[in-house]
Amino acid sequence: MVTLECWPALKPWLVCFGRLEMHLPDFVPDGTVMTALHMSRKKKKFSISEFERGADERLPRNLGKWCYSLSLSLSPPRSLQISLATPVPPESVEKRGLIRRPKNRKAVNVEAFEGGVEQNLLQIKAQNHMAESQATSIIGMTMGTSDTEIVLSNTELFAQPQLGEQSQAGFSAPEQKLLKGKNPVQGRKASNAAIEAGVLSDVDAKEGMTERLQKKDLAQDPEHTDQMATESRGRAVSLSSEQREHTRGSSYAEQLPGADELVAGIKYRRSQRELSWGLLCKLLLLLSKNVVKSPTSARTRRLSRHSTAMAALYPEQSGRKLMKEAVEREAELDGVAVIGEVGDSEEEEMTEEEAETEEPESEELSMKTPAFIRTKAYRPSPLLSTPRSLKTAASRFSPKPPLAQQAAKRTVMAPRRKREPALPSSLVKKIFSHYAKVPVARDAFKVVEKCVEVYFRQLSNDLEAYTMHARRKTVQEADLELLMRRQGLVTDKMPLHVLIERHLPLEYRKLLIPVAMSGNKVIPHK
Amino acid sequence: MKRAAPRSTLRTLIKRHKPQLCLAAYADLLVHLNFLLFLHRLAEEARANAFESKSKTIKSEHTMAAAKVILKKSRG
Repeated sequence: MVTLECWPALKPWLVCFGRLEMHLPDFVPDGTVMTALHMSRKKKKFSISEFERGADERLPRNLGKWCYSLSLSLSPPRSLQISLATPVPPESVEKRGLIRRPKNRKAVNVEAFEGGVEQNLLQIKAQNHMAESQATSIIGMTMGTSDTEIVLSNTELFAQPQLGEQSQAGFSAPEQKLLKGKNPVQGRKASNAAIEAGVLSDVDAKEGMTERLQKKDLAQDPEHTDQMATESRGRAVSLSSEQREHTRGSSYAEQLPGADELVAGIKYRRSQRELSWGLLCKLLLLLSKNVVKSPTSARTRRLSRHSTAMAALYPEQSGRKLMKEAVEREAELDGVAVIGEVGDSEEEEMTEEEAETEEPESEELSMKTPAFIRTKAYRPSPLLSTPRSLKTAASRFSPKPPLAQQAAKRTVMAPRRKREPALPSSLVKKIFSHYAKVPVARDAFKVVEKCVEVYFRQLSNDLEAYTMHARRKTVQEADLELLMRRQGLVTDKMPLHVLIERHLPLEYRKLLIPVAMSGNKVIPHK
Repeated sequence: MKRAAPRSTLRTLIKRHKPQLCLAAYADLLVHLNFLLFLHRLAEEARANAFESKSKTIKSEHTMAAAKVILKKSRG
């Protein structure tokens, strides 16, 4: 290790390296002895303080590897106390860039820097996760969260694209917001007749059926609360948008007489929301229809409300998860007498988190008993129409295991997500055309894309074979090198490092190729 | 001109095929290198095919033939 006492011996080295320009990572701690390589040349004698000052000035511009190693070796604080006294270089403006960094003169800097590099590369990924995690932490049990809060609290794996701005009393803003954004049909206020006519987007037989179902509920219970209206709406919408196969549910709908007028006005608000949740509602509704023929009033009501509310809240992607949860919910709900009331409150006041967990259950149940739900849901609704009661009820229900359900939701989402990752086609095109040097037809790119897929499959198989052979579970660089050797890319005449240098950008080269520095330092640190 | 290697995408791709496998710290860079070299060979072969048929652009049939050869070569 070079100490201060060795300085005189290093003078000739300074002269030799005076004109060298090499790139160094910027994390070299300032204040350490940086070579003012240029400056050192001019002096026969130089003092440490002068040297350091010069190094400080030169540091951002010209970091030679020698300087780096030297600085590192000199990093122990005791040897540099003089230079470290002034964190801010007196004159040079160049040092500004380094001033920001906290001076860390330990050798760990290298690793910290590389860690920072890694983090930067993965920053984008992290941001998404962080946003979600932050949102979940924020959510809590807030009722009637603001739009932004709801957006933050959205624990969906995918960012929800549409978020309208709408706040309605008693209804969770996000629901409405999301529905509004997603609802292509803006003319919800039209009478049910219009709906029946299939004005709904993705008009299906289902949609008409759901409409009829809604009407039936309305007819039986003229006092709807907005919830009910929206629920039925949402169900109708969800059904129509989601399930085309389900015709069983329609049986209920057909029975209903047409009581359009009542439904139309009340449902408007909800319908928008619910349309966006079509997928969820559809699935749940179908299940509910099939499974439960005569559910308890409370349960059905709750389920229906949940389903509609949840359907509104959550994107279609969570539909599958909701279905599963709905099944669970259904089991739970059996025998619960007062669930209906809670259901109402839950529906309205639940945050996205809650809704997530509860939505599938309610939706499923509501789907199972569309007719019954509506009729029975109506009766208790007047009792709990006040938002206050709803809030309290919702808060009671919010503690439901959100984490477990969220986890379940995530696992359901995971298989969906797996289909998505693929190399960006623009990148493939660019690389291919760069290597081809002649214009390439567009159809040829499709062939290339397929080739790439096959290639990756082969690659993973081979890597697995090599790693298993070495009785390891992690693919190492040695495995990659072996693969390239077998492919004929790496030969005795063409070592791997040459390939790295030829094809990879500089930053990766530095990470991959270990460089030995003086003072027993190797970059990257092994 | 050179773009950053999509490291996370590469890792997810391999994870999708072989979930029991995981990549070392810089192994995905070497995977990217391998991928670049693969595309390089593919492009060269396709270009050679195109020149053989005296066309100045690479067409899909050139690429198809090239792919067959190169994929066989890069089986390891």
